Amino acid sequence: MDDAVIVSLAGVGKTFKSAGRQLSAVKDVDIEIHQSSTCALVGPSGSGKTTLLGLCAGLDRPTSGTIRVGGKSLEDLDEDQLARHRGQQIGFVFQSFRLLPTLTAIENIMVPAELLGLEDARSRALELLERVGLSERLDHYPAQLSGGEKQRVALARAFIHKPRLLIADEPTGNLDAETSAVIQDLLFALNRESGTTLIIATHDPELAERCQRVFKLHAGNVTEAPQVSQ
Amino acid sequence: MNLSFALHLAYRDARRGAGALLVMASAIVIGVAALVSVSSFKENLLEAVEMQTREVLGADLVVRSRRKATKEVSAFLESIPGEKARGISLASMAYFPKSRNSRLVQVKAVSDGYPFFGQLVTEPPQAEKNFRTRASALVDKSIMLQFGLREGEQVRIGKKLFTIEGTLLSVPGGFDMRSAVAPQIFIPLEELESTGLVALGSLLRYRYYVKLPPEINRVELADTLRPEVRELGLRLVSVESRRERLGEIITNVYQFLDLIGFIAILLGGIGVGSAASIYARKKKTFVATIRCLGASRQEALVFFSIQVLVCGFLCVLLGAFLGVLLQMQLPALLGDFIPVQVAVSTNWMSVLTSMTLGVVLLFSFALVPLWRIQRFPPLLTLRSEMEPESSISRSDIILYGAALLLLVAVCVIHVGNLKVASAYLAGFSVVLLLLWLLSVGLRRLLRLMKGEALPFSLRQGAANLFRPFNQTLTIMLCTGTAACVVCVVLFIEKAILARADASMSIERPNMILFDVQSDQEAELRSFFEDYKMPLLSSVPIVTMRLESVKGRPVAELRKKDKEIPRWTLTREYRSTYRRTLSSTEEIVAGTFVSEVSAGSTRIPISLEERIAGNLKVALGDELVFNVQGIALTTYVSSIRKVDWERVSPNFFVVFPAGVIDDAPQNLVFVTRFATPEDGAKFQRAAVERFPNVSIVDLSLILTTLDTVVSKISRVIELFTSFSVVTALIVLAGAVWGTRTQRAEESVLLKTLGASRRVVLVTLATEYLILGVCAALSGCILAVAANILLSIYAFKIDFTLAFGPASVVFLGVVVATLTVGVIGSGGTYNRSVLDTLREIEE
Repeated sequence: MDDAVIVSLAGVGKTFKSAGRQLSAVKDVDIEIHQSSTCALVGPSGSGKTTLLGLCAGLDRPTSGTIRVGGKSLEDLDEDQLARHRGQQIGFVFQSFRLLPTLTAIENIMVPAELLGLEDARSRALELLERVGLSERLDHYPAQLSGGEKQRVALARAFIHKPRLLIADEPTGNLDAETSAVIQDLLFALNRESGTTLIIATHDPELAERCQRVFKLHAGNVTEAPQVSQ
Repeated sequence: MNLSFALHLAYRDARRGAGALLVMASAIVIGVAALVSVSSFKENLLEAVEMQTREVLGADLVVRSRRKATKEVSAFLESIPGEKARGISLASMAYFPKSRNSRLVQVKAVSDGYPFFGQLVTEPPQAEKNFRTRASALVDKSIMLQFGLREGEQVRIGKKLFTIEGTLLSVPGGFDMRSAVAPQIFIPLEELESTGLVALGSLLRYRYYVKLPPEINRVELADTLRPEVRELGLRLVSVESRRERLGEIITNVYQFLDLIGFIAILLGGIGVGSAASIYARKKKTFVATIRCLGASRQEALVFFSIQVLVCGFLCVLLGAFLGVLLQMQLPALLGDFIPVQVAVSTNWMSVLTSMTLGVVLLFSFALVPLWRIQRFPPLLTLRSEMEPESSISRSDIILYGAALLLLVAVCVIHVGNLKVASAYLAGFSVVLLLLWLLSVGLRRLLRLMKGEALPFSLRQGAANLFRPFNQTLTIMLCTGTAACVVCVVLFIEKAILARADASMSIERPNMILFDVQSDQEAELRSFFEDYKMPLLSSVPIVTMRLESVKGRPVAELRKKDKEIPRWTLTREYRSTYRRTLSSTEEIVAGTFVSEVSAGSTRIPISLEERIAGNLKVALGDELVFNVQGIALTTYVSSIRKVDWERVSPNFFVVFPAGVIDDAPQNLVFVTRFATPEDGAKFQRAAVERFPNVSIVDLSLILTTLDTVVSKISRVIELFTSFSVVTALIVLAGAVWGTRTQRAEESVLLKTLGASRRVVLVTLATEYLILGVCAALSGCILAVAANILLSIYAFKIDFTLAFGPASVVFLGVVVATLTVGVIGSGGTYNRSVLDTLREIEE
């Protein structure tokens, strides 16, 4: 594991207004995540996993505290700078895949690379399709793919621009056990190959166990579980 | 910004989502078609007028007069260089001895040479030459058809019998509206005298046609001649002045049709705005995902803007294509009203201008929904349930303002007149505002009415009208406006015909005999008795001219007082004398004097209020009239308001009895026939016995008016139908755009145990209520508009035309229901699993 800190949260809190009351989704979080490490965020529904994930990804802004990703303080970036930052530094895998329904598998994979203006977007996408075992289905639309295939495409898309950080929100939440295992293997394999830092929000204890660090969330409070052996 | 990415993505997305995009932009198609057709055709017409004005006029210059040429006039006409031809026209009865039919016609007596340009088109073709040498007549094809006449048969005009040389198919300048009431018959000029129609008091129109030598500059000569023409009380029409006039008429007609067509494009714009909103909402997660993956707000905006513009352009292109096809059909529809031969060709500049207008309008309506796209936060990828911010920022306000300004600017540029454009937009906005208020009211009302006693499907159908993302407002606006427009057009049509019809009511006259000579009065009175026709009134007419007003000679006023319209000074006044007011008159100032002694030096007269205003005279002011050589000094003793709409002999100047009773005069007899057969029998006999007397059968005029109004209506209805079709497209688009939501509801209802029938009834209830409300709102607005039009434009009593209103109401309800139910793609009829799979995709 690289010792450089890629994500650091200092005193991060997030409150929402609901029915006229302030609700704290995340309270005073201090975390440092190192380059190429793997972390899991676990906890019951409504514990703040997704909120914390969104904050790390720069999809949401904290009410208090500072977040630094890849050396950059996110609070200094405006909406579009955040988008550029995500495009350059972060890859995403979602529970509901979030493939663009009107684009083919290969086109979906190419999107982040094209956004960065990478000229070898197609060859990279083909390579990754091969890697996730879908080279025969490159021209298929998401509607023509099974759940597992969709998530493999999503994995390929997440890694195409070689992000420093990969954020996965319940990546196996919509899959059966067998497919889930395949996706987990792929996720960790790709992570190893590219040296990406992985933050996963999950309910799945098996998946969490495969991560180097596990953060438990409860009512917005974060505690780190004892280190598990890899 | 990565433009290449935005372009690629827009293209890739459109491959699968083209249907939705095209539905979004399709509402603009019909409006563009309307604009393209009418603007391109206008250019065709203007080109034709430019090329054919000499043919329309038949000469380089035409000098007109209502008086026989005096020595001065003759000398003046002689002084104009070039070839000359003459013509005299008058209204008279034509009698066809073989069939014993008769009808009012315009007799046109023309000398050799006429027309110098263009031609009298006849069947057989040689008839155009032969009627001049054989002293025969050319008869309008409408009369030939009406009475089944053939070449070689005879027609009597006045006292003279003419052989029909051939059928008149077209004349220079085409057949005007007057020809619809009194079709034309051409005879040689030298034969007019022998008809005996050139009697004192006959209303003759003299025309002098001039063909200038090529070396003469027409425009300069016309300018040089004008002062003398004015001096002599004549009128000069040059090719240029006619061209200008025709250009104005064409532009006016164009503006009218264009404004009706413009409603379609504005409705289309609303439809595009609504469809763009639905489309943008559907793309919520798409936008969130690409933004999550690194796309900026601008890239998301550009991506959608490209899609909207490209699809909009394709739809505008389709609209332009349809417009070009429609343009080909316009000559057939407008043919009767066009004075020139039009070669239809596509005017690409007009097409391009209309297309640009379509794209800009489309963009201005789609701008606001597009702008909202960038508000979809990337966090939606993690929290799909979250809604984008709904607060309005300063940039939103600037954008809304810009979209509105763009819309107003486009309208002003298109209409080309700030006042007209403002009035038009204001009217349109008022209609939309009222419909919006009605829509809001409807939704509130439905929300308040719990209807617990009603079956589930009815309650659910009504509730759909105020569910989130409902399309109630869009459908109400578009369908309601279309219903309103159609209703107003039908109301106006009815109002025009009803007004004409009113003049034919039971107690009013329906036949007028004019040009009755004094010496025929006694004979004609007994003739009326023989035929048991009531002589409702006999009105003497004495022709006279104005010599001075308030002591200032007319010649001086014509030169120095530009505020008095020339026609009021130079016209031949056809005045009457009587002891009482007629039923169409009322005194608004002064006292009506019924009789004066023959020796009076200052004669009290009654003036019609508008002519008094034009002449700038008030009670007590002096006017001197020349009554066939004798100067009569008069003063204004009363001012009358005259109902000119009523069919009755009405006059600008009424003298008291006892002054001009012995002046040379002719008479107008007014009567009423009970049945058309009685009318025809009487007319036939009268024409046989009194050939110089002209008879106007008002029922014939009504029939003609009906035909003319129907023809005009057909054109207006065509352009109105564009709004209707657009409204249906918008409706279909709204239904199509929300069908996934409906499918989900349908699945849920079915899963919970609802039968297909329940789902269908729910759907039908929703569209039935929507249709009824839109139709009712449109009709109510149309009635309000019609009340205003009745009071201010037509000045008639308002009557509610239930017939057209019911047709429009039912039409809108049925159309909304049909499009709504069919457009929902049979969600009620599909299996739960199929629908679920579709939603999944």
